[in-house]
Amino acid sequence: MNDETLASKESTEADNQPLAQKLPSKASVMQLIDALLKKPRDFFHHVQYEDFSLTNSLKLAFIALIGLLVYGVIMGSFSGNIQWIASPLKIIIGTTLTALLCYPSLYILIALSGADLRPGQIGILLTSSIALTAILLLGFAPIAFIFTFSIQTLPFMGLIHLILWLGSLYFSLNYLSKGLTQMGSKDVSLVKFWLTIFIITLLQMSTTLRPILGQESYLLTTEKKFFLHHWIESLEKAR
Amino acid sequence: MHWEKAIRQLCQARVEVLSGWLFEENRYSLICLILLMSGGAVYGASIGIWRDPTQAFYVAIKFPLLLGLTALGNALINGMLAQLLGAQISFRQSLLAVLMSYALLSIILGAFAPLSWFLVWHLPAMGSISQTLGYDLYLLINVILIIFAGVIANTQLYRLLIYICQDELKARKILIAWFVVNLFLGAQLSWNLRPFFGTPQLLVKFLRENPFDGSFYEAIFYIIINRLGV
Repeated sequence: MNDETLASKESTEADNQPLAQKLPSKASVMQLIDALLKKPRDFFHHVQYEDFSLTNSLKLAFIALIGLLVYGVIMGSFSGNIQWIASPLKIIIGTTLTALLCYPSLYILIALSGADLRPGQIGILLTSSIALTAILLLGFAPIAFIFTFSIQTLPFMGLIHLILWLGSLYFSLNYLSKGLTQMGSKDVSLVKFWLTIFIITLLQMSTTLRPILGQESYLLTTEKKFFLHHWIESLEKAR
Repeated sequence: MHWEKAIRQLCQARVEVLSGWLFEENRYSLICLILLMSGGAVYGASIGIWRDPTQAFYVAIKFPLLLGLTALGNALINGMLAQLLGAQISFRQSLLAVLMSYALLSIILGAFAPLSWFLVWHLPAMGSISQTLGYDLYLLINVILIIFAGVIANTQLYRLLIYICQDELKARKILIAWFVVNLFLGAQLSWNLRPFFGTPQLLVKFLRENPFDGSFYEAIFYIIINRLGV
């Protein structure tokens, strides 16, 4: 038996083994954060065997909400005034809308990739992935906070936030991809294709809901703009 | 029938499961037809919405109609070709195999419809200075999306045909033959049922004036002749 076959067999055996420590059906917020960060395999196991309670799912959504809210407040502190409230609200609404827009295509692409997951299981996975993004953003919050009071120009502040968001998304989407592989996805390219769509939609959403970081005379605009175009314009304005 | 399970089975395309569908009397034909209609309607609406909400309503009817009529119009010849090229399946089964493929195409397109709507929101609107750019971009992205869904739907159909024929060469021949005849009729029907995207300069209508005058192939021929200046 070659190494690859052996590794694959061991991995399957590990997946089928009962969990050393089962996640309670009414797990605390800290237990859920712990599972997301330290024991993703156990987490996927619970989702795969439909052993993940509604209470825990709602708690995951709550974690995501709090994480995004806190990070949003820090983003809003760059401009102050109404942005203290508008930024966190826009961050929460934007992320939720992006997830809702991309959910149907995620469901179909997961099924096409060969995994046998129900819409509810995919919903939990997506929520947990967003919760992980929010947790990581919360971890990055002190860094963002320090930069907020050091940087003077809007494009540079935007760049810092972009780097922190992309860093968080890298880990959380990687987590999602690993979870799907563990749950039977055979074609990772389809999942990666969806991840690209998700990131582009999220970036476009940030432009749709502008201004999130800077301050304008309006709270929302109906003017249509592609996100790259918006970034270039912001750079030119700052020069 | 559990609808969600049916969608999952179609997407996963496990040949041993889908070949089982072929032997169930009529039940799965109806399921595929309903999935084709609903997925096609959602996607159709997202195609027409850039032009006008009325256009969205019209295309929500016309897009699934185009797919359904293409499958039904070619049912006889597809069945004959399949038998001629070595597949031991009946006319009903070959129609169902094509319907499965179209249903999958519609489901994929329907799943991308929310993103398509989001895209419309950001494109230069109808009536704006850069409406031509908006129209061209929307056309291009939808063509890419249809090609993507078409490739996946045909790949799954190919797998099923290999399982039925137990021979890759025979399966490939049947797939190509079906593809050619479906494209041949589909192109003409799309010409008759136009407009779908809705040319900005023309009025919103369910069908163009005299939809059965001329054909897709004549139009292509005259375009080439005009370009060459013959």
